[in-house]
Amino acid sequence: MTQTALPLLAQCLLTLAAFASLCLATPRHIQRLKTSRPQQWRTPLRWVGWSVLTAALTTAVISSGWGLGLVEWFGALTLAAVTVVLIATYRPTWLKAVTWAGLLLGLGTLSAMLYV
Amino acid sequence: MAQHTTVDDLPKGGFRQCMAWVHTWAGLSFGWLLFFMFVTGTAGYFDTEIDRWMQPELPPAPIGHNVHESASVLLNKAREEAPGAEQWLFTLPVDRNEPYAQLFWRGANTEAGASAERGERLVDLNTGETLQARETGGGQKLYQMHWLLHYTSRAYTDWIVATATLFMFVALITGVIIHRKIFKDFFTFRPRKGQRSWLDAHNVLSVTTLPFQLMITYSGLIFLGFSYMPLIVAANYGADGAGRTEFYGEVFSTPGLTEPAEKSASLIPLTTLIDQAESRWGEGRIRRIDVRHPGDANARIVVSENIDQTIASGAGRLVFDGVSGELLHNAPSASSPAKGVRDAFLGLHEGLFAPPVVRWLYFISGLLGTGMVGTGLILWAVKRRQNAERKRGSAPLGVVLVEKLNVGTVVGLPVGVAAYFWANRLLPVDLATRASWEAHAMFLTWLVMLVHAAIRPRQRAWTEQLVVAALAFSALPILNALTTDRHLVQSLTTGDWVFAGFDLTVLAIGVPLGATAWRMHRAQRKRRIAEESQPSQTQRANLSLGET
Repeated sequence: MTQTALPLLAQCLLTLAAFASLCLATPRHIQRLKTSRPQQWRTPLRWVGWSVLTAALTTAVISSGWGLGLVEWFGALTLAAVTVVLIATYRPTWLKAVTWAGLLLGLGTLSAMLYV
Repeated sequence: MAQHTTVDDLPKGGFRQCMAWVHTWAGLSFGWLLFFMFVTGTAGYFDTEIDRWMQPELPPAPIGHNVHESASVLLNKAREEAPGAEQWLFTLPVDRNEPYAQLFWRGANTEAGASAERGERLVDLNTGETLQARETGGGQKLYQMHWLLHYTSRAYTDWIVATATLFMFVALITGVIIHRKIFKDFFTFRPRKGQRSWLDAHNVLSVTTLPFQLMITYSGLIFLGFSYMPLIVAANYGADGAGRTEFYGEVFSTPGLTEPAEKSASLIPLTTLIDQAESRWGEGRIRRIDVRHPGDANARIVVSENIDQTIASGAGRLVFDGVSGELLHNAPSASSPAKGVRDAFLGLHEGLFAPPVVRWLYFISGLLGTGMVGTGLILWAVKRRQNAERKRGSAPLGVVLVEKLNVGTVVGLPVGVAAYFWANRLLPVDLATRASWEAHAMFLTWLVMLVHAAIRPRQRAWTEQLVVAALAFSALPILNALTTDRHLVQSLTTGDWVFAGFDLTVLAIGVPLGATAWRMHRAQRKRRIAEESQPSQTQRANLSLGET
């Protein structure tokens, strides 16, 4: 079970970070960045989002193969997307923290996988 | 001429409006049936766990028990219960898909001392005794309603379910077409805005689960492909029953099975066959041992592989001569590329390969899909009521009918499912038709909820049914604690995750239902007070359920 649980945890965290980042990049939420010109952060945030999604897919396929890997990735995508929509609706101020936490914990889990 | 009328009948505004019309009516016409299929199908991802909760007398599942030992216990049991049988099928407790060792047999000789011509037994691997538990339909019956429905004969069911699946597929495709801003509105949900909120919710649920929805619906169509497209088989094998049988035999039967020779010969010990199979597949990966014509010179033993290492359904099989032990065939399930594709889709649909966490993701996707169908149904009614009230008219009869069916199904059906579990604990254990009455309890409860929805005012019906649903689910762990000794604290402390998981899941369903009921009740009370002080605002305030 731990064989699939760790990679899947990493994917849930990474896809969560990715969607939170993409959500921050939308016109509705970009103003939450407390910088002087938040608009210029939209493109970098989108890049982060899409590349982390790709990274999650890559690790899924490497750790579980194409069949199970794709199933895991799509499952994680769904869960992460719904979670981010709920956060964006009811706790929008958390979006930035969720991006960071998801990224750091996700990368942490990935590196933990190398040692297990 | 006919073409002219069709074009004129098209809704104005072009392709997208036209697709919106198709989406609306394809969704509505089969919506309640699809809701039923989503609820029962989602529960089906935990079918064997529900089975186990519904037979609390059973001991802990011996998953991973030594294969040699299990096989020899089952073999002894078969010799004792079913001598002279045409087939003994041993199922080994290899993972959650098969938690207990099981013996199935058919064609046994009752004169030679068989207990019945055909039968099945769960077998205790420590004592070789039959495991006794209450009669129940279990998670299996609940799951089978997903495609067999209930109270209908197979001849109609296949067509009803096939049509519903096709409508679902049409609704998905048209839904993607009419959704203008999939990416732009990806994260958009605006609560407390009536119709707008229901549309947002419907969109979010559909878009986030779209990969799952496409997979599940397309593979659902593949399941039913032979009912749908009988002519392809008929063109190659003949249109009569014999042709169909030949086709099924060619595609699905295990190769190398023969008629009995009517000459007795002793069955080879299973040990060497098990070792051969395990050296191919790995230890503990034998799921079934199927013995044909045991004791005959033409005996065959088919050993099947577990399906945990591939997403595809269908297992590899090794066919042995049951007397000499010679390996006759090594038959992978994917006998051709086409069968391989079919196996992959069916496997994805059923998710039997899924380890626990992935199983949860399947379950969550199923719940969200259920929500998608539910919000779609509600949206249809909310939109039309809002339009009617804007024109200061009352809602047409059709809208009222849909509203009532919505309450009675979207909340009423889950109450029925809870009643299925209640019946399992409350019906007398020695009742002969216990399993049927569990199902009757489910459908009678659903009927009562539909009647309740029909006679109560709209808003009241929602709150009252939500309260009933919340109680029905949240009280299940209490009922379980009162009627068995495997209560939540006990199962949490002993690590009994099947029971703990069931109890916690029904709580996780019941509590939000209660919270929704409470919020809806509060909003309605606020609105009533507002109406009393400012009568002029009545109409604006009374728009929809979505405002709560």
